[in-house]
Amino acid sequence: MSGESEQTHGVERPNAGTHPDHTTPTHKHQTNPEILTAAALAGDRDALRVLWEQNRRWVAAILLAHKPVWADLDDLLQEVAVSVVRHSGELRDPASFRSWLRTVAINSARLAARARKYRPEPKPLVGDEPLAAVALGGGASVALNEDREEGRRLLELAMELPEGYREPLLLKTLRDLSYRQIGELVGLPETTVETRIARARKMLREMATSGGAGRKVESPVRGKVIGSVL
Amino acid sequence: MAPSQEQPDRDLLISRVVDGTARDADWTSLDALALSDQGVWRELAMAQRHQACLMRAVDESIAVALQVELPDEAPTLHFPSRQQTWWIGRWAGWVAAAVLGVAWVSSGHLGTSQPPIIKSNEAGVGSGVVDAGSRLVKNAADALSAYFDKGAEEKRVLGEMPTKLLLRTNPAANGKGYEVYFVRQIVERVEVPDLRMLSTDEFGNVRPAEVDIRPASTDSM
Repeated sequence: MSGESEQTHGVERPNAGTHPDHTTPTHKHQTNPEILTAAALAGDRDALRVLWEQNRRWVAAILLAHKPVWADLDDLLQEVAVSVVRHSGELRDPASFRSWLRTVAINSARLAARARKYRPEPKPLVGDEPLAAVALGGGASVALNEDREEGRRLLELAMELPEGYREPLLLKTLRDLSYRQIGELVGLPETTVETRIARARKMLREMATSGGAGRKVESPVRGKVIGSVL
Repeated sequence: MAPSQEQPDRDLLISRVVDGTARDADWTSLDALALSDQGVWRELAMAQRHQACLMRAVDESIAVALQVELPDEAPTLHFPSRQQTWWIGRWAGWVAAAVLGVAWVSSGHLGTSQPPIIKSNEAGVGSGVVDAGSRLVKNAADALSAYFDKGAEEKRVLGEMPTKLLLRTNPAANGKGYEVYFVRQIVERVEVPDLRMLSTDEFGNVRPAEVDIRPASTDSM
């Protein structure tokens, strides 16, 4: 089942091959995340590289959830990569690697927001070139373009969701992580993650159908105003 | 909004279907909901489409980022934090000088300075030995502990740096875990009348040369 996890040596890991990051190389301890992480943190360069390539996809999603819209995702991910190389060896507990990585990513995104060192003009969240549509053409191309436009609009609307809902939703959208894994990342119980994702989708449906013109979005949990929809 | 036994949360059910985690009971609940409100199917269809479109948008947004590799720079491993090492900068020169002094001392230039004595026990049973304090030393860790205790008693061994320097790692021969080669950093103190460092003379011979080391200011102490 897509999005579910498999058990390997008693340790849950994301399904391999359910996402497009097919560049992930093999490593002798890749099937055992604990050993792989421990080796990486102990200085095994190959293990660290494999670990990075196994995790960078959700790190990118975290950045996407937290970065200012004008910040370049690849620049921020590069900053996180540098931090991984420079500071992951300081970690004592391999089990804390993922939560540490998430914190690094969030800090990078927030620093970017404060520093405003990236270009200030807004840029599209997705590319303008409809790559998939080119090969199909005709009616299929039009349909794909519509889906792309809808996806772009929904992603923009998702960025207006409260942070506590936006992040789990985007992580789930990757299809690599189970509710439990997302909960471990963001430090929430599995049931809370599931509920927040459901609420986020509900809010997104409401925003999409209402057109989102200046409507206030309220947190379903606290009932307070958390932002405005453009 | 809170789900109950009779009326499970509508949004949660829809979300489970979207994620492919809905079970038979969830589908039954959805059917029951739809009996009174056909709109639930429309909402489900919309949620499915949103998910598909959002997945594509997110995939496209992060696709370029997946080309980001780790930079080619050596990882800094297990070094103490800045707070832990502030004194190293001040004392590093003196520690190095002390090490040189120790080397000079132990080469026989200045009297004798014996390390803690580890000798065989009288019975000679097993591999255990007793240290100078007559404690049973079963292994290297015990011996090291005895060394620290004796060194502290003699005010010669100040302690161990909180981190170790990693040299390399190899997969363990049995396939389980790694063997790790590292340097344990132990700080010692010794008082010597003068300091010398090894240098090379004009004939290429290594000879000790006297070193005049004075702190730049009293602050550096």
